[in-house]
Amino acid sequence: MELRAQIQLASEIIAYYWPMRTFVHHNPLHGLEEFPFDEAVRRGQQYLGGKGYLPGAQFRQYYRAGRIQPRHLEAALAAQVSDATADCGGRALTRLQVARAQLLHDLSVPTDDHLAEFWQNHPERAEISTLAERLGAEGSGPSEKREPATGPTELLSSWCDRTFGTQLTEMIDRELIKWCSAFLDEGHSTWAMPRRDEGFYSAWRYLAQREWSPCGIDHNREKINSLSNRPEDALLESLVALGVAPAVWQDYLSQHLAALSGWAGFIKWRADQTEYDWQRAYPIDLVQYLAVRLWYERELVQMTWEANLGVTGSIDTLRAQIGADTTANRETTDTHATMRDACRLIALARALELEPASLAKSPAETLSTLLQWLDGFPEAQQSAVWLRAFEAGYREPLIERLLANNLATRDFDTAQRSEGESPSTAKFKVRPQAQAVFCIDVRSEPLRRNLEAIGDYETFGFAGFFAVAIRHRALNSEHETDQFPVILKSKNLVREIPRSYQGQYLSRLQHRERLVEAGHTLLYDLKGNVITPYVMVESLGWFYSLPLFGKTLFPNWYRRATEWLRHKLVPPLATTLTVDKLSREEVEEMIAAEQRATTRRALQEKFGERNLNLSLERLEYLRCRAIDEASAGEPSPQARSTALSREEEAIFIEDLRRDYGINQGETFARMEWITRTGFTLNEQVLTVETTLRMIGLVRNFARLVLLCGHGSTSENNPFEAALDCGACGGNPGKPNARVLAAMANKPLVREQLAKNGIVIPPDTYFIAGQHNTTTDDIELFDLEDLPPTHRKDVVQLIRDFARAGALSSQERCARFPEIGRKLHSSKAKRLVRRRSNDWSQVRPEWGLSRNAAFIVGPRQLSRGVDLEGRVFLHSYDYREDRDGRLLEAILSGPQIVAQWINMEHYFSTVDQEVYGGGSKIYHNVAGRLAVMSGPQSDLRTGLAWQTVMNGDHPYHEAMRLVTVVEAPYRRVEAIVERQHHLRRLYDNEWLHLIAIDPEEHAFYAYLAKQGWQPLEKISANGGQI
Amino acid sequence: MSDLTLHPMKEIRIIIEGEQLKFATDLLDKKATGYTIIHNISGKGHHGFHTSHTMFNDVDSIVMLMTVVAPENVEPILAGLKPLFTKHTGVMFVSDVAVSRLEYFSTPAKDK
Repeated sequence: MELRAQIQLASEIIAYYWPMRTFVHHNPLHGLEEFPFDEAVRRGQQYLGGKGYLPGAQFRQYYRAGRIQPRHLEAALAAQVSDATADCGGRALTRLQVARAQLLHDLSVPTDDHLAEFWQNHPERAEISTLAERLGAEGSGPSEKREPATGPTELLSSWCDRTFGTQLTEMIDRELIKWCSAFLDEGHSTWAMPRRDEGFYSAWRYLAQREWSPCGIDHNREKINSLSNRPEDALLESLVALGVAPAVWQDYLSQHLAALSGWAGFIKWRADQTEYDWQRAYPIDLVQYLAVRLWYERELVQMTWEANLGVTGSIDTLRAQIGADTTANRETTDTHATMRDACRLIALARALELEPASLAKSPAETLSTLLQWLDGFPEAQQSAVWLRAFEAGYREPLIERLLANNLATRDFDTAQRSEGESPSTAKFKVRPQAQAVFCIDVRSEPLRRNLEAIGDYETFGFAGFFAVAIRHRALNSEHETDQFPVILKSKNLVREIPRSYQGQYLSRLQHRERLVEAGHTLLYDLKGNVITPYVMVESLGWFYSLPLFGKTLFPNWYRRATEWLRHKLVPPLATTLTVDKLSREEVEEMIAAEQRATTRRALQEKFGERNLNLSLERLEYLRCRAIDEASAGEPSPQARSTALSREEEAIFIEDLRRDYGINQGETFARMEWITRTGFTLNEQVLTVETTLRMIGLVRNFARLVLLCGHGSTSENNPFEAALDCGACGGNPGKPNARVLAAMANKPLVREQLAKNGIVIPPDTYFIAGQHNTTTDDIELFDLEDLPPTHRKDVVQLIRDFARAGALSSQERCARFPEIGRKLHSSKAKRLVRRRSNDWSQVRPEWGLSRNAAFIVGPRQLSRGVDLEGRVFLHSYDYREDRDGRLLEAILSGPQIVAQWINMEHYFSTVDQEVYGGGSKIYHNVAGRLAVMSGPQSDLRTGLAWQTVMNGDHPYHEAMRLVTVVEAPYRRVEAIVERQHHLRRLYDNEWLHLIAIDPEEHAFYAYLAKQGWQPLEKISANGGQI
Repeated sequence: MSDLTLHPMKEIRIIIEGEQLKFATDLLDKKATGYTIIHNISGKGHHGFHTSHTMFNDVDSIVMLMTVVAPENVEPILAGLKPLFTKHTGVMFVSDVAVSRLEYFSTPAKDK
């Protein structure tokens, strides 16, 4: 039991990894958020080997380009470095000067292996030698005082690799990748791994015994066979055999999990999904994974010890060897240390424009002090300072622009507003042409801005799931999608069903769809078979040339042609959603009607030639008997029939139960299924009211209110879901928008809302839509329900959206490196569509790259400001939220989603290899759940190179998100005070927080562990906002 | 009432972060016959005040688990949970209770 807890804690170093068909942006160091940011990235480096900041050279480039301002760097530096001076050859040097030189000049010195070569090629090697001799003689360098860095306990396999030149860790990784990719496969492979239903550990035991000496391990059959059936015991046995002390188990296991953090992260996620079909069918957890992994380590390490040390593996022998190894190397290390110190001092002298000779004249204490200063401001601290200056360089102009915008267009003075008027509606004295609610996603911002510039539109931002946390089952789909942020739990199920008048076409279309599906499956099977591909190439190979040339040479044309063909074969059905929850009585009656129809069909199929009694009473009697024999009672005279003998009737009842599913279990299951569907009236009222109040849309409704989710389209892109809506769990937001629109249009809901103070005029109509972020096209849904009175409004809306979309495409095209200039809007539109359809395009869109801020407030705060598609915009009117509960919901929900997105981009940018996804060019889809680089690698869990990098330079600016909230800062303060997890994020600097207090007309910043400070005061003191 | 026999048992209450709930329920699945979960609870502890849940976040909340087990099952449950409290917010209480349906709470634990 305790071991499981140790594994639970050990696994905190790795993050969940969701299957990429619903890519969830996450913080790869989420498990370390309890630590300050700088400490967490240090631990990330220790365990995962990932860098936590951009390289110094990149920051220096930003500095030279003016992106980092000297004043911001000075302020960040002053907060980090103490004031001290040292005399160097008659010139007084301050510690600040030394630290600044470290930042602005590359003073790094190569590692021991390359030091000699570096020295040989150095123009001042004579000075370096002299200084090194002096440092060595005087012992000025602090090298001997330096304690070796305390890190995690080294894996024994890694120690063997380092000491004996083996490749044990790589071998273990390869084995685990092999077994995990076979076991976790979700329908990608043609031949499935046998015995998966017994669980990972058992399936591995069964198969690994049958391998021929895996990794050179002899007698593997006997060894594996002798392992315990319980993975816990096997793991424990391996830990004991390796001699790992219980006190370091957690640390040791963390490193094993970190070795393949992608696979382990996926297993960690999957093990926690009790409802996940694949997990239910083929269970796996980290205990099983570690039991297998440590068995390989134990066997391989013992083999290596035997081969190299001639002993049969004991930790004591190993310890003795480690001690000898350290002593032997100490002398060499000391020589290297003085040489390196001399190189560093010479480089420092150059950076400070000092003659190297002045160092020779300096007393030993000065040299010692300078080295201590250099050591006291290591690269990690330098990066932290750079990062703060980098962030200030974005934050300060943002705040200034918001301030200027508000001074120009808006007055905070409440006296100027009439009673009850909200800031968001203050501009609109008449009803706006239309109102549109978009997702907070940064890609909505350009579209909103352009739409507002075209017509008298009022726009709002709300997390794209629109407060509708649904599991959604699309028409003809066998699976449900979770349409809500992953930090929420599912609430209600909504199904897409054909509209009533389409019923007659349904079966025909389903039949055709099944044929198309069967065709796909047949082709797939033929391709996967051992023999058939030889025949297929000859007979059907030509068929594949059509898509090959079409997709490559004419992607737009090919897409249109295939869509046309698909519509001809399977025309789309008009559908609706099951928004309303049925009462228990309604459900019972619905199921009874279905079962009576089935009973009738069954009777006709079996005894069609007889003179049957098919009356309602008779069917009901047979149905009741099939469900519960005892409660059916005696048949009424109308329910009796002489067509069937007593025995025949009893057999028929059995058939109904067995073959037609009319039995108690099926009925309960169906009841459960249907009653989970939809929302009660109260739930609908609450959902609509919450949404409208939160965004401040409670009066002055336009005739048309668009609820606009978003999705994306791209070809041959395993990362497609990363471009969809994060607030909808990595799915397109269409179902959520449709559900909310349906609710808001219901007279009963509006009636209740009016009682709660939100009066929606009868001529206001809510309509659902979806913004395609790759093409900037808008699609509207459920137009069948649109009243004829609103036809012209919708036509105008479509026209204006097309124009706004073209302008957004124009903006986006200018950011693609291969275009890089402003195109005519029609050409831009054509190009973005081509990108969307082009199967060789590795960057269909930039997605959420360059995201930097999260603004919570009325649109008036930012309306008219070009935020360059970098800001999450959440509408909020503090006047509609007296107790701060709505703001609390925004900060603890959508803000967290935005922070995860921000951190995913941050870490993917600072270390593509460890946290990022690597180049798409080398990606291979593994098991339909993720990608690997090349034929075999760890799962690449982060964002691809092409998403965050522009060539060799970062496109995404790796900064922590800044949240700007317009609300009385006391209210924000109270929320931070009572929400422990939010306070932790701000105090540990995973997020920055600024409050704009409209009542005090003041800006406040939350400083980590110091609380709130007015911005003027911070600026006046030379600090950063 | 006269023929009502009460049997001594142990009640365990566990208050933990929502993110640790799955781990705790997995553990109780092995050692207890059942449990009750109360989501989104509020209170004050060493880390200050914890508010109840917010509308759009079910993970960063505090939950309480209650279970009744035979005295011999207390130790493994506590041992399984104890390491968690070295890093995370949370508390456990064990108290004496009595139950009338002994078999209801003391069916041998079923390992998954």
